[in-house]
Amino acid sequence: MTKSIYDQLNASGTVAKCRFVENFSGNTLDTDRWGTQTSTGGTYTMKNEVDGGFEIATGTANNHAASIGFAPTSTSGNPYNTPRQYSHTGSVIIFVQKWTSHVGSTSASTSGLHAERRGDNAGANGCAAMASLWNNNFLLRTCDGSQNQSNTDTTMTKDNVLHSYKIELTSSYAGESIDGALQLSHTTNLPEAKMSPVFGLQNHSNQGASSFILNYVEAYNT
Amino acid sequence: MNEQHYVEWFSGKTLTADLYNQNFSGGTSGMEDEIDGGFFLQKNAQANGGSALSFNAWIRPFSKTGSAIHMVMKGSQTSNCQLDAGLSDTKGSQTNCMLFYHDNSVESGYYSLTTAGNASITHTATTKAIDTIWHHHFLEQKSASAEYSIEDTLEATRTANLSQADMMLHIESYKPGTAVFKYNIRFLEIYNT
Repeated sequence: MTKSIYDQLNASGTVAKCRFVENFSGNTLDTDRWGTQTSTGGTYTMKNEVDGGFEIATGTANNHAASIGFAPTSTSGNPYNTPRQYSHTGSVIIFVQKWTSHVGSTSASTSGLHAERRGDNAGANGCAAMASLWNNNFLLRTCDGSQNQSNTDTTMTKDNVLHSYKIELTSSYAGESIDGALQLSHTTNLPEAKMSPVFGLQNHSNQGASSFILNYVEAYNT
Repeated sequence: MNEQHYVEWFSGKTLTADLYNQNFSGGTSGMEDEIDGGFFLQKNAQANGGSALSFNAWIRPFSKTGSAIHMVMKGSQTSNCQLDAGLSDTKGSQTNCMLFYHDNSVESGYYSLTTAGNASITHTATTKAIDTIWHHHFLEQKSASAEYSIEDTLEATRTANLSQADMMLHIESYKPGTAVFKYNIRFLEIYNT
């Protein structure tokens, strides 16, 4: 077997495209790689638990938000999530996530690719998984370049269990799988510009703070 | 037994600063805000300026008799430009090295394999003219030769003037004069064989 990771991931004679891998293990989040939203009550913590990964939590008030992405650390809302190196017509993002708060406390969340770093999964040019108190199941939301958005529900009821999520973007659809099972194929309001990874949430005040953990993220162009 | 292995994807907000010794005197660098753009090293108009990416001065974990490096890189132009990238023994030095060159003034402007073993560098040209396309460059240091492949096709072999010292990462974009040019890298892997 070849020692080379390059040779394991790429067919002979091909040139590798962009890829990002984060295992969320270590002393603290690598803030050279990630920027955080320094919002009221927002916290970002490596968990002292087996498979605890990294937790993102909001404050407890309505619309308190927290998020990480490639945009510089800032308090301002919804900055461009630069550098945006992932294609709106051919990319994949895989992540392992578990909700650690009551999922009824969350207005919206963003777990996937987006041109802006934001927890509410709105704005322009995004494709991200989501949980919301307004939906019984996990869902996928896409946002086009004109800030029009649409959702498709998965068949999985929201829970507090670790799941593996995979979102694949092509020029004609966005597909989402959970734990290896294809859940949906969404074809409207697809993103129209480059994006990068974003994970965040926006709180609702009726059940305390909102939070989830991540212990793996991988993104690549196809 | 797993030998020393280093992998960098060049994606994220910025480069992880603790991992690299960066020198951008007369140059700039950063993550490229483009699909598949990776990390850029730009030489600015300042005379004798440039951009370099390495480990620290004496962090040399890769063997002079058995090591390999993969790089996915591209240049912005094919004139007034220079990149040398691969392995060398000291930051900024080419006294002991195994590099590829993208330089219109070296080997008539063909990608070339460049080595040095306690001596001045010597080049062996490939048959591929330098261009502005992303390529997979693979250099392997063996006990009695150095090999250079592009997209897995062997393009050049050298058996003389091979590195006599263990090595580390060496990426340097430099040229006398005021030319402005840029190189991008989106994958790097180094390991002992």
